[in-house]
Amino acid sequence: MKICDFRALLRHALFVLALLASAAHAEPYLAVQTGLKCGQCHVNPTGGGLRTPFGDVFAQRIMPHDHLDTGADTWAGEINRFLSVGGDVRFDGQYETTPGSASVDSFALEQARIYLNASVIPTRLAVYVDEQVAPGGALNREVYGMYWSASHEWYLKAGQLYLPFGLRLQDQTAFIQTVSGINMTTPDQGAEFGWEHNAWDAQFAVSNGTAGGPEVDHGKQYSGQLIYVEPRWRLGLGANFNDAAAGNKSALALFGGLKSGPIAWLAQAELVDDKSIPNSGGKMLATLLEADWLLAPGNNLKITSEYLDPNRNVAENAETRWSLVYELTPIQFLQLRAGVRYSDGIPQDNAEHVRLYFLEVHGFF
Amino acid sequence: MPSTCDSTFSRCTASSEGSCANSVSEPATSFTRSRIDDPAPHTIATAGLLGDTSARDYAYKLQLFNSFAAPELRQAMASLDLKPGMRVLDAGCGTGAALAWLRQAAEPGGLVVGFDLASAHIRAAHACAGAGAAVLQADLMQPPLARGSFDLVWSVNTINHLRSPVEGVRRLATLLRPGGRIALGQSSLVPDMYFAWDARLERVTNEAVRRYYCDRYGLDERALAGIRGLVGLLRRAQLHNVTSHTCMIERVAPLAPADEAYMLEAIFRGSWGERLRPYLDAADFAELARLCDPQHPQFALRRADFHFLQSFTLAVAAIP
Repeated sequence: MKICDFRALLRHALFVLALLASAAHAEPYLAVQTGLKCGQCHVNPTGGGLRTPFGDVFAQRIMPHDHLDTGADTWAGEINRFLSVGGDVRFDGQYETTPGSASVDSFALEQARIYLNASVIPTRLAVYVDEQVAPGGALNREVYGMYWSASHEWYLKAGQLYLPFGLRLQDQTAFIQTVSGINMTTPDQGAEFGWEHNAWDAQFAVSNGTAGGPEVDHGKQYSGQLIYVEPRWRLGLGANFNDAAAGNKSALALFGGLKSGPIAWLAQAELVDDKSIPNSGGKMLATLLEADWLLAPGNNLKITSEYLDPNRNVAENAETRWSLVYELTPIQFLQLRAGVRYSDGIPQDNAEHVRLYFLEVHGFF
Repeated sequence: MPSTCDSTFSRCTASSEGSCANSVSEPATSFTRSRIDDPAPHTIATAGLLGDTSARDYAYKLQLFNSFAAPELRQAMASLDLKPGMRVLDAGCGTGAALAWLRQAAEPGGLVVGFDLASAHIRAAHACAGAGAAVLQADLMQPPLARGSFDLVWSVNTINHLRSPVEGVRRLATLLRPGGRIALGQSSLVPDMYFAWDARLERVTNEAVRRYYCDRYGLDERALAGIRGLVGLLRRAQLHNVTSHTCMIERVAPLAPADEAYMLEAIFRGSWGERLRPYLDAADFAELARLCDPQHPQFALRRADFHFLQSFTLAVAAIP
């Protein structure tokens, strides 16, 4: 077989697999489906990273299509009552086309991350580490100490942390994640205060505003969100202001979720004003609407529509992106995700017309 | 005095028709042999009020009770008007039989979670509840669940195992969302009737059982019977709209296999048996042994006049 034929076959196979296979993951849609707050499944009250014992059990018993018997014991992440560990590994194959460029197909280890939580005073005081160990060298994502009040109505954490601002999606390339610059690739160093009371959730963080890099000025970044969570719906408001020497940046987000039968809806609209971009060119708008249809246990169909106006002072420059992702969790701790992302923007920019087909294997514990 | 010691050991959930019910078939042995556990003496001081630890295992007794009391437990559950989509926690889920029923009521779209302290119970609960219910091992006094997560907390014959029941109820209440309810079920708040034909023997047997458990756990009668204040307990936990309803679990001869298995294994052998000998005079103990011996012509469960009564109380309260 010729190499070009093999590639074509491989591309075809990936595409077919992408349509047939799938995976699910601890994402906001799961919180909406269950009516729970992020902190039910994650040690971090704002979501992501190490799963709680409940999150681990949920991942074994409720998420997957089938449960493989592991005998007498169940993994709950707890080495002992003081120490919990977890991890995520994502490996994918991609096929990407961009007009005017040669198509690219590749395999990539997207990330391997290890989490550790040392509850030195169980339920009250903990040290948390989120370390990306691959690809490349070790890269610290989050390291913080967190103190919970006795009633668990408030907490204080300090260190390097993800900032609280809107939906924390698994897809870090979503417009709403990139436009604000606040996502799980840009942790910052600072402190966060959280408050949880009945249906309300609120967090406020003060950080350097350097995405984890060294501080270069006196300005600080202020991030916060207020969320109201009902079993069938939730609504939140997020705000961020980064006082930076190069120019202030502010962002405002309105986000929410709704459960309608087997479908969980997520939505976020976000206004960003980045003064570091001259001539008022930094006024941006990004939106996301996502539907997650739980077809059967362990089978989720995710359809996402995104909109980005990169400069609200310029007409007809918007970019849209559609994603269709099938997520299958065949057994506990294993997810397969297959999908296609279709971008559309101004004709002059080929980069806004990318077609991405991917198949991802996600292992976690 | 109700047969408190029996009820306190029956951390009943409920049995389902599937594997859970099948798992309780245990051949009869003798009066003095029992699979019902006793906690190791050295653990009692640090364990729950009734000796509960993560290593404690009385799954068999729970399964027996679940199969026996299933109709009444399901009736009590039905009175709560559960709806699809609800998020329900079974606190002290034991061997998990109630999880299956709760799932039926909360689906589609609901979430059912159970936790229990004992490893052995969790293993049984996983097998019983199957996929679709999350079961985790946890101490009720430190539940590993986020505040405000559930519409209902269901907890049967569990709170009486706590050294600080009011505090336990408060902890459970924090897991409820605004308007959420807590339903505490408790059997035997009034005396059980075993021997309809011999009230005296029944009374001395119940007293013997009570004295045995008082000695075993170093408790006085007030502590052992503290759960009788179920309604007051809910009020002291600052809960609102407290209601209570009691039904009778009533069985008459001829008994169904599940009923006979429960009474023979869990009561006659598990809660009574040889260990009551020091607490009864010789004649009463001999009489009791005859009534509890399946091989004896006087075996109570085969008597035509056998009539068993046990109360089951469900107290419900809400958070504001």
